[in-house]
Amino acid sequence: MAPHRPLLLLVDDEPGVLHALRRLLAERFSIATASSAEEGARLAAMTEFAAVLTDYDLPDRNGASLLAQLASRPGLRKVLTSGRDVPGIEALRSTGVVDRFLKKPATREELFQALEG
Amino acid sequence: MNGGTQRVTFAYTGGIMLSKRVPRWWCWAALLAACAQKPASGSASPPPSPAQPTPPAIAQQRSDASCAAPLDLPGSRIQIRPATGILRIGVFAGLKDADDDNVAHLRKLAAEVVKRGVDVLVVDGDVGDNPDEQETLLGVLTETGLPVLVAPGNREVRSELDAAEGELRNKGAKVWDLSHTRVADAGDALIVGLPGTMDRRLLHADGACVYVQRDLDALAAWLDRLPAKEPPAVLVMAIPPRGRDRSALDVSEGQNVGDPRIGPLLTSRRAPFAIFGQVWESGGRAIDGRGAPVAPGAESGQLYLNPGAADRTSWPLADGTRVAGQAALLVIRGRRATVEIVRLPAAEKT
Repeated sequence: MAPHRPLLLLVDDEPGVLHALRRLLAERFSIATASSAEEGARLAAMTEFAAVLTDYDLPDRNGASLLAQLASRPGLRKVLTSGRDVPGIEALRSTGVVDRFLKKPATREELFQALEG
Repeated sequence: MNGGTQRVTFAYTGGIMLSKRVPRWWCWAALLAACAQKPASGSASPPPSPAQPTPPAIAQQRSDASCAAPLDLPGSRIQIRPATGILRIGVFAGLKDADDDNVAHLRKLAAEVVKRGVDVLVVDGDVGDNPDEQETLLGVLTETGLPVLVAPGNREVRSELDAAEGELRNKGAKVWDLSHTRVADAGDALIVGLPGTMDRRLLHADGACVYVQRDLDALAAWLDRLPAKEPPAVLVMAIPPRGRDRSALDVSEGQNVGDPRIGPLLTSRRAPFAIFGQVWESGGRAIDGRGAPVAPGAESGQLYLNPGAADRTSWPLADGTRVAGQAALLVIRGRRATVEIVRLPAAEKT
């Protein structure tokens, strides 16, 4: 019997990014993807994800606001990514909205470390 | 390569690097034609997306085609008790983890429900992630000696849950899975299951189940064919219907997140009563056919229930409070029903 992998939610509006992340992380996670903050929030409401990894720049609103929306969910690991500096990232971290911020590009090891804590 | 460490962007796709918001020099250095900066969040008209890549086979999740037995199949209906004029259903959802503390908590919660007088127990989704957990968690309920009906949701792998239920039956448990025994005739109601979840992306493991429109259509047709002399149907499924307001059974963070395809099943003729789970923020509430809240103890000719998660996790509810484990008692008399939400004293809302 294969052990169940934790379920990870990836949120990014770039299909190529989602595709690459899925390939990279499928070894240790079951993966669901969403292309907007609203779609991500809707999926997150329907089951208990182990972690969510979202890009900051999403088409409808930013990834930090999605993580803030999910902040009260027990046991959810919240990782924000961006290719640029994110305003107020220290406050987001200190208030527990974001568990880890990853500046792109990141290594495979950095990704797993951020998601698995 | 970067200082001896393999550094990847989030978009390594067969030798073509894509990235976003990286310095332009980096794009040039990587010879990226597709490395355009994208606009900031919330700005209008995002640039057209590149062609959708084919998802890698490794990550695709599969549903077992035999997740839900045909409703008219011989053997898919069983009588579990005769009619007595009243049916009391103990309702649990979200049993979740089989650690010692949670099992002890669930045992107390089950005792709290059973002491009110119960004819049958229903378990609606999240019954553990592997056969050992499932056997332990369902065992908490089967050890009451009552019939136990199980409706799997998005976590349970069909073959694993079958194994766990088989082990319990070998020990004398009265447990039926509403994936195979789709209809449990409880005398005063027909308890009808629709296993699985609405969206493949919600599956936690290969071999867990998704229901599709065809399953909903088959269920609707079966309900339509029920003779009038049959007792009322109680639908059991994990995913709640898409609600319209903050009183609904599917409210999470202010959104209605349920399945809009379920609504047509919820009529006084088809399924006047139903049990849902999955959206724990809306747990511990019931509504009628118009979507209006049904207060505990109030009779209703249509009653749709989300009992909330039974496990001991302190879960935030849509009304801003928190509850650490709850269940429900659904009582059907004739064609009317009442509900009582059951919590352990220490789990009361805070």
